[in-house]
Amino acid sequence: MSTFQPPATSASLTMRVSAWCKPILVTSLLTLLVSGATVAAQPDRGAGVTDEIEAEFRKRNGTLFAGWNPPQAVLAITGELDGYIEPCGCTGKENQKGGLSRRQNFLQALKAAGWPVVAVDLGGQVKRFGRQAEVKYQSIADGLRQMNYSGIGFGPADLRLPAEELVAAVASVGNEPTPFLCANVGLLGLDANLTPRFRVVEIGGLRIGITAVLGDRLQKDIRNPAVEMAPARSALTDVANLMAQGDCDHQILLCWASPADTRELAADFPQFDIVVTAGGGDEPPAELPTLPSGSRLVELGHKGMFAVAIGFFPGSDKPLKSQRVPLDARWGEAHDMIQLLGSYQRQLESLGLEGLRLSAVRHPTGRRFAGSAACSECHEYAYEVWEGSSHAFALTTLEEQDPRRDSDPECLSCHVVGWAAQRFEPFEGGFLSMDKTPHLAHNGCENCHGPAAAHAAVERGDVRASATERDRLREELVLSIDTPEGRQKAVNNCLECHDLDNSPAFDFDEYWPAVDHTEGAE
Amino acid sequence: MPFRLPNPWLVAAVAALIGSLTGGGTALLRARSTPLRSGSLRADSSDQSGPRAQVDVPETHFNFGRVSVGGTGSHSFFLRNTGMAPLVLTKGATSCTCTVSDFDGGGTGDGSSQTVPPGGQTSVRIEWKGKGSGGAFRQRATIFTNDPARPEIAFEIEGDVIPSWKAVPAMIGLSGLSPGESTAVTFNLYTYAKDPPELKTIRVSSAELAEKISVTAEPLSTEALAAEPAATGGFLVRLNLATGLPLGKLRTDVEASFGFADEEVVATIPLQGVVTGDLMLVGPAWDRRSKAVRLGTVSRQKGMVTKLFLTVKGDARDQVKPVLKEVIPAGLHVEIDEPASIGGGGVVRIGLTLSISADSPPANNLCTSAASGGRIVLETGHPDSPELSIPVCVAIAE
Repeated sequence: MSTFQPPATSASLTMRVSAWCKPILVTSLLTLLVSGATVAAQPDRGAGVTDEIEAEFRKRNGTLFAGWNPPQAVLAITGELDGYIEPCGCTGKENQKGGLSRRQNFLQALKAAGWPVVAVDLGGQVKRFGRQAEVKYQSIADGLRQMNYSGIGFGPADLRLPAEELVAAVASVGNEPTPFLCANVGLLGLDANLTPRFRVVEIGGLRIGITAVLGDRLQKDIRNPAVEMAPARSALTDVANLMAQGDCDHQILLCWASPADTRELAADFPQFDIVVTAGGGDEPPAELPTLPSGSRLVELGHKGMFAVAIGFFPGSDKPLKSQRVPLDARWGEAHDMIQLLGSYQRQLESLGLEGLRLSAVRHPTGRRFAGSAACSECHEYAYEVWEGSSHAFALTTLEEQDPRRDSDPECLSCHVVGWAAQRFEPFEGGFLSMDKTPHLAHNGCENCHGPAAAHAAVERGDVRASATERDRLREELVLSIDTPEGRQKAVNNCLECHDLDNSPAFDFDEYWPAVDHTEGAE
Repeated sequence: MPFRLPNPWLVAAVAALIGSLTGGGTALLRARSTPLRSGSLRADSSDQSGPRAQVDVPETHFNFGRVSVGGTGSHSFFLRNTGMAPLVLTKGATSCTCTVSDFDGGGTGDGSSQTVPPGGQTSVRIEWKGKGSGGAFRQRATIFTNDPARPEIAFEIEGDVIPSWKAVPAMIGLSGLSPGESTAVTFNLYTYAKDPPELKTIRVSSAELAEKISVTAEPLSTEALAAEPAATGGFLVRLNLATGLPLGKLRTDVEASFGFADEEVVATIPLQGVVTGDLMLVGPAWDRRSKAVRLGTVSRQKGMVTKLFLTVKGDARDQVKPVLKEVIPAGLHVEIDEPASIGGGGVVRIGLTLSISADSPPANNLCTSAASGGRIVLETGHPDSPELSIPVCVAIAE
């Protein structure tokens, strides 16, 4: 039994204080543990995203990780970015999915939840060819390194890029090994060893083997003499034997081939319990199909709109769980990726059209552009309707993006006058810059009606022309939706920019009233 | 009565218990007050006790097979209420506006919801439109319910959207073209109409490039057709790019005009490439912008090893056997590998191993205003470029 007495000496005070230290320490540790468990919630949103936004996008695109306990490790799988480094934002970025910025925040959310993460990418970073695709590939490769990817494969469009660009983007940086790998593709030769054929990573106490292959059927479409390719099956046999010695708990095969070809290949290599395929539908399926070998087949959809997360729960009744993750606005934006995108846009700006090897092509009609203001001199009502529509500030929307995109040919082509929309190159006499061609800013009349410089010059009297010639020039620019042929022609014009990629909600009958400038309709 | 200090361990245990109860109670209160926060989405988050609705859905996935671009289709999914309380269904989002959902009978109010009595059944019809340029199609539509065990149901439809034609690959991209060598390329143009196509014309759209690029087409073989599901005809297109292509960008289209019984089609397939000189340097340390090897400042105690590759194409590629003529700074060691053939023999690769070691004397060749750059000079054996001088920017420090 202890009695209270005022501390008579410092020694006795020290003794009493030290008697409480251990209990206080233990209590503090317990509190920390409990609070840690409470704070490390499900990875359901990016940092800083509010409850309201998370709830809105959960309602739109589904709940994530429902019923999941923290896995021993989680495999985050992405791929088929198809050049969509960032959603274009034409219909409002919050209405679109994908982009490296949200992807980074998704991966960070997994880590913040205390889930050990290994990230792999199937490949297919770009879809197009040319200087912009080369610059974009380098930027995306830099971004994937920053996100600490452990394995990245190659898609056919990636391998069509010039070797010097591929090697610069893919090669090891300093002492950091390259995350790119492939069992049957070698840049500058399979024996150049610029990329490994496989890798084994240790995460959450699990050993995970990763390799990639390019399907045989796709190899003949890659005409790049500096890229050496071997048959997928024989290359995979060698690699599979080596990986089997790696004492892996799980083995991942990133297979750039059609789903049918992937299934056929996977059947011969049942050691890969997770097989990622290219192709397939726009979105990943809700559930991962199980192949006859017991392997799980992963489809990723297109344009990098989704990631697929596979959680490992060894010893439980469901040792693998999967979740398709829409990369929507609930993930917010990652500052480092926004900076990367800014750097990419600045490169495009500094290269300019000449540096991007974009030269003007002749318009199919051979005519030149006048600018929408020239049309307003006679077509007052039509111009007024245009001025009140989004078309009239199309370029401004690019300037106001963060980062701004008014130097990006893939954006400019639909936001100014005089570009081939689907080819991302200017026509002769089309928009070049606000300095040189301000009168061709925004999506103007001539993008639908055709170049009108000759017509405007005749109507003004700048050029003399016969009545026949004058009428011919007028007739060439007429677009009427009164006939089925005319309507189809108008619809096709709209679809040049309002395509499925950038305007998935487009319906001519719904959109037309906002821009209906039929003379006499006022 | 003297005050007695309690046992510290007892105090600690009570404090931990109170803290845990407080924290857990707070979390529970938040979860109840913001049910969305916990991940469950309910059409009605009221009292869970008593009779409940229970939804039974025999089918949530449908494969519609094939639809043409612009074509439409629909399928109804059935939902039954096997519970004891009304089942409230609310229309959720569709993943694409090419997919819409409507309740049987149009739903109630604005059509966004429907109530199914116990034992009753309803259906939701999903419609889709084939958009884009064809290919595999998969989309979903979500319905929310007040069944606490199944608050949301995702219906998924998939199939194939069939275009009228498709080129494989969709665009021809050619890297590493040589002005001194011709290049042969083929691609397949598939069609999907009932009737086989009749080729009218095929040409390279650029008049200038048409002089250097010939194009022919022949009907696809049975084997080639079998490789493309749903294709009913098509052409094997052969391109031959002659020698003498100008250096730089190559950009044109292949235009094929063909007809069916009731339709004429003009297919345009982009053709792009880059024509470069026969000798090219590639490697991690090779800076493409300044056209120099940039090694930075290297400590000779730590050392450095890196690889640079010289690739050679063109008809003189087998004559190139580089010999080292000069290296500045002297401390930069260069070893030249034996030439190796890659790309089916179309390209020769020669590796150059660059290293700096402890015996490398200090040097400053950092390519600045104060320090001129170094160089590696090779005698190549190439008839048009017999000597190659490779700028090097490096400083060798202690």
